[in-house]
Amino acid sequence: MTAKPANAERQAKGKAEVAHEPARDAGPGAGSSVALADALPGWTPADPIHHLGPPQVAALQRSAGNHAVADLLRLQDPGVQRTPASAPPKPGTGPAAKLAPFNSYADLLNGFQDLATALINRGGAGLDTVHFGPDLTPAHRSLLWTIRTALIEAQDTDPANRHKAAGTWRAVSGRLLTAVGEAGKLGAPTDAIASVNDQIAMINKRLGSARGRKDVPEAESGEDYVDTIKAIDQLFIESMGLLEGGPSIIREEAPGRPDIEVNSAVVELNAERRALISGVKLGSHATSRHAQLVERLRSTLILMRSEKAGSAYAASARWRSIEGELRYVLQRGAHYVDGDLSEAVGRLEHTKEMIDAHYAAVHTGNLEAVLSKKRDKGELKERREFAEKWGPGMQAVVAEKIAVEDVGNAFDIIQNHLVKSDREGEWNISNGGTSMRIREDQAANLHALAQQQLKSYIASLVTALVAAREDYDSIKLGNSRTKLRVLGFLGGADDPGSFEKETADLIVMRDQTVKPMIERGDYVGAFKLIMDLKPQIEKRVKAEADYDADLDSGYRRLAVTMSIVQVALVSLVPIAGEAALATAPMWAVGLTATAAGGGGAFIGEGTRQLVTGDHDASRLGKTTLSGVAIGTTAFTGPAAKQFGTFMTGGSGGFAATGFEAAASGTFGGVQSVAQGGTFGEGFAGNFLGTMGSKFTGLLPGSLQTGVPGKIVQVGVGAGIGELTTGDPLGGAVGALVPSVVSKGPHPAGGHEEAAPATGGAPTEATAGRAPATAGGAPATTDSSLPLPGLGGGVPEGPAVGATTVPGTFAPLESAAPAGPAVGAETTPGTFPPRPPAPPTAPAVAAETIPGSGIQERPPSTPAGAGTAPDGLAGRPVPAGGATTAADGLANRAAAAPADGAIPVGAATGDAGANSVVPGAPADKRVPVSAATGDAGAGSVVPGAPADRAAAPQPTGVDPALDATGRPAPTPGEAATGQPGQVGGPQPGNQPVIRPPAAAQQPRSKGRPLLPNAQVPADLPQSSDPAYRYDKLVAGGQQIRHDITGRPDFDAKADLAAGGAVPTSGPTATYAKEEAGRFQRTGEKPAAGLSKDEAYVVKDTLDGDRKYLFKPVEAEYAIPRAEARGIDEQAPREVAGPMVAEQLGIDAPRGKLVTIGDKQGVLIEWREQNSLSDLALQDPEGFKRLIESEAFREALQTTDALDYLINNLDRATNFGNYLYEFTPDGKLKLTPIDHALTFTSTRERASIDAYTRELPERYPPDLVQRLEQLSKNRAEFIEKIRPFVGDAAVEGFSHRLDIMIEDMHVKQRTGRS
Amino acid sequence: MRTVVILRRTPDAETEELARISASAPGTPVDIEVLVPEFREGLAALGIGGTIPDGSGRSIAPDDGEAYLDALLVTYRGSRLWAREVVPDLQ
Repeated sequence: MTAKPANAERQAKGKAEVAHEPARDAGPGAGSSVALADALPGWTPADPIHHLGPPQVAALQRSAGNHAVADLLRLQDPGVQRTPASAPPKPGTGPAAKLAPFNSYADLLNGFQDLATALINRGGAGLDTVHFGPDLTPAHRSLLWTIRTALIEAQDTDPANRHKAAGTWRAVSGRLLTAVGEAGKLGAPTDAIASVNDQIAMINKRLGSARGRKDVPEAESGEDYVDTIKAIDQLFIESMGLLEGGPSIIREEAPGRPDIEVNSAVVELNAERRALISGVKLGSHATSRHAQLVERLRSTLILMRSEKAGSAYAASARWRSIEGELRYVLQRGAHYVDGDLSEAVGRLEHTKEMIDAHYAAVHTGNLEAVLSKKRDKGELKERREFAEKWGPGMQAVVAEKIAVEDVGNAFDIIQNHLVKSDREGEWNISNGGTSMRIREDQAANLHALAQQQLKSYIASLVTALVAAREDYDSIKLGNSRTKLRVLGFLGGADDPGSFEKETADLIVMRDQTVKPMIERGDYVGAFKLIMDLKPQIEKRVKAEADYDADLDSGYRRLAVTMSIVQVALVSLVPIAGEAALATAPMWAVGLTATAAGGGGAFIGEGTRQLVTGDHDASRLGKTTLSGVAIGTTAFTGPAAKQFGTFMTGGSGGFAATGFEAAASGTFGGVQSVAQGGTFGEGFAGNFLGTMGSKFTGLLPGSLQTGVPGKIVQVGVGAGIGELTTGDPLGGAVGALVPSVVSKGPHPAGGHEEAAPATGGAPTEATAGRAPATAGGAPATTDSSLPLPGLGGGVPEGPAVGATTVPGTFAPLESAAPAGPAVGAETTPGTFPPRPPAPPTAPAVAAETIPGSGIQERPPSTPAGAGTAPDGLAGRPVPAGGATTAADGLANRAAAAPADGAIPVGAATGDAGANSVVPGAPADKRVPVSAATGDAGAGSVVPGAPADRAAAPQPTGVDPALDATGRPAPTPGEAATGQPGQVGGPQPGNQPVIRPPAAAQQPRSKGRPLLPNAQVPADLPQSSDPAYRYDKLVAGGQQIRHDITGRPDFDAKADLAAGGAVPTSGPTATYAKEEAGRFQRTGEKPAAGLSKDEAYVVKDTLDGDRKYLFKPVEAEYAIPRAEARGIDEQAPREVAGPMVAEQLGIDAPRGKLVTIGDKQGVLIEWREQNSLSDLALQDPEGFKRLIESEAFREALQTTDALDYLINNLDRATNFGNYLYEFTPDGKLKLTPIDHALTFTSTRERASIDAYTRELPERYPPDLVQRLEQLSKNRAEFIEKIRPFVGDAAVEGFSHRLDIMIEDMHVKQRTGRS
Repeated sequence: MRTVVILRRTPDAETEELARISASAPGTPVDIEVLVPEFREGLAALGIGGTIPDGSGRSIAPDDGEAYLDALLVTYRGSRLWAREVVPDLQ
């Protein structure tokens, strides 16, 4: 890394480079010195400082607590909602006494940057037209005007005026420096502060600097940047390698908790890293400002590597205070030094992630300490060692005992030690000497979840007893008294007697005693009562299980039934986890959920291996297994998925995957035990299998970035055993912990003391202004000016607003930290993005389908809207030719410069922030209304903004936020932010479903949806919908990305590798032609249709009943079907409905016929709407429907059908469902199109977008029908054999067996 | 140029063209025309214009041009919603 050549050399180069760039974006004064300005390294002014608005303040109050922003609020305008300060500052002592409102500082610094840009880039042109912000205090406004006057006079040809200007500047620059310092105290973005300082230093070179001040900024230089950036980068390098294995690793001391010991490996690694960090040298050329920055970075990283309580908090806060300046230095330095700085920038990002992750993990650990029972130092270790001597049985007993203690302690804390703070919006949670502040919503969630979990617990015990009773009854009913006597004698079984009375007693106890206790907040009492009841229930359940097992050793109810009790205990674990998950940012969730069970162990071992370089897959697996062995539950695949989703509060995604994997793994364990294997063996297959596809690919990256995935809270958890000395049961508490962790009080950023919230919280959540560009805006300096320090009139430093080198990173992100906002932590979604701006262009060539880039016809392309080579309509150029960069982020709204300067970003198209076209002007304002303003996220093809612009949006408020600034409830989420009722409303409490009023019915093109197809506006939404509309629109299919090359929809797991699948050819014959019987209806085929297309006919012999006729020759070869042995499709259209009928599903029946000379299948025509009709004609209704509980429920039987017939064409192929709301308001799905069914393969295919899995649950009617089908399968198989072929029937029978087994398991676990 | 149309069959058994997807030349992204403006959002929800599987299950995007047309033809095969290649002499 070396300094770039001096100006003289670069000027010549710059002239050549910019020759092709006209001064299109130059402001007044541009022209002769275009090349000169462009030759100078780019000025990269920071993002304009944004004002604080009520939404941001409200969000901060919620996320950081009121106190965190109280000081700032005192300085704000009266219009900002605030809560009373606890104690007003004494006159003359509080910050309000001497500081101006923050917004005034924002306007002051923004205004000064504009002036400096005009002076240096444009030789002073436009100085007189720079607009100042509206929130300036009189003093700040006066200061700016004085600066403006001085800078204008500095351009005067009269030497006297120039000398006068220099004197004025020297005087006012001192006041400016004071203001800059004050702005820094208030938390102005540090990159902005740094930028202003560099501008002051540059102007000082021309006009002289303030006298008598020690804070006059030094001028930057190439050597300075080389030394500075080298040191910064080396610090990043030395600090790398911190991998957060999971919250059960104790990283920091917990105040008041000597029993919480910092992991010894962490201590050792920290010491090593601190030494390396301390050893980084800084070169001698660094300016004092930069040297200070390096030292602050060093101290930040050392803090991150320290175990003292509060270190992580301090590190995070300090990082926030320097992050912006670090980014600025790296960006600015790119103009001064040769070499690629992108790696350094990447390491900065990594460091930021590490600090965030580390803080989150430490926060988790602290919360763990708060919630766990306080014990003597070493007590847990002693108990664990004791248990180990006695083997797994004792370990499990001790594990449960400790878990019960911790859970009970947690309830005690929630009940008695979670108290409202005197700070509005905050609560204190404490345990002995340890206390912590949490947000009000977290506290509310804790209470809600304590209630929920306790109720769930008692409900589980009731369920277990009821299940035992039912088993007992079924045994009694299924065996003759003589047989029972004989078997009882031979097997030694004792009849446990009837369960009737105690079941009834338990229900009474639940309803009349336990629930009231829970509801009045007596969690401790309720928990104790439950714990008292539990042994009796276990004993009775076990008695039944023994009796049952003795009667039939092959009967596997024992493991399943007993596991229910375990499930009840385990289900307590996420009590707080859900609270966190409801609101937590992803990084926090990812970190905080790795507490227990196999997930924790998996991560822990993975971390250890990564740290030590010891990569041993088998060891990884073993550790994982031991971590989960304790937690035996009884979940099957779909149930596991449900459980996982429940655990994650319906969030699904990565978090749910972890739960699902563990639940699935646990089920595998149960199954394995039941089949004579070990739990671990079974778990391995299921857990790792599940995670294999969903997690493995993510693991390395997520670990390296310090954001390990969220794993399971099943099992009491051996957790992190390999890496820590951790108690395997720590998982129980650890799992409680994540709950609250969502976001604890985060370090204030920006400034550690004042903790204001700015910078990262712009009202317009823009990433900032586009990088300044130049080329057309040179400094028209007069070299004859004999000004002091002018050096010939050209500043030696870079021009303000000069070219940003393409490929360098823009300063945008620096002003919008993704982590905790300056002054407080930031919740994704907390700060509303810039509201969609009305387009400046009146029309766009084509509308765009969100997420697709589809254009509509017939567009009327306005002038200027070109067509891109991709066939999509080009972006119309707004008036003035201004568009934003592809990041879609506009700068602050401002009127176009009066000086006529063309806004920055003009013609930059979608070049993105990092590739600003050289020659763009220094003026960084971009009209907010720029057409591509919200084109970010790649959801809209550039050039088609009208769609969004047309959509009504609340102004200034994120649609995801309600009026209070809180995230709006998601479907299934109550207004409190708490997860909604799992599984939808309880039976008997269904709201009335009614169609919308006629006036509310959606418009459609001449064909309204049928009356029974109108989706009620109040259709209850599911907390775990079958599909999410947004994902569908965004193309969010679950595509396998772990396949080399292109992602693949088809897992192909049902296809033997390399093995040929035989074709299953039907033998059924087609009925002969009955001339004239079937007549084509008057349907109007669309133009261009083939004559071989299917068409509708009426049966003249059957009252003109309609059928769809699908000619065989119109069948289309589908590779995924052929690969599975499907050839002739028409007969399968007959067999599919036959199976549907067996399951009680109404599906249009088919028959094979010949019409004319065409053989084909006739399928009953239903005059019903399909789901694809709904999607097309009423997208809102479609969304409501597919995200409804009714739809999810209706899918159960359809899933059963598709599983049995191995349908390869349903799932999100919404054209294959007809639907209607029956007169009683129930949703009815009618499956159609069964051509791609009955494969020759045995196992269910897994092709995302086309297939689904086993039903989540089995309605009673379906249970009966499946049992009946199973009994009569031989007869039924012979009925369908001609239509599906010999090779297909075995698979059908095999899948029926699987389904029956699955159904039985779910029956026993209460999910049938 | 190859063109695939997306069609639906309404409850009253009429067919209706919803979109036309064309690939002007090999290697170029497809051009998607929504023929019924009201249906643009619904088409996206149905996956048209997004990533879809091809015959082998691989994900195919509009940028894949003709391959996308082929994928449409194997993805949408229902009686209520289907894709069909427009034979030139029938246009």
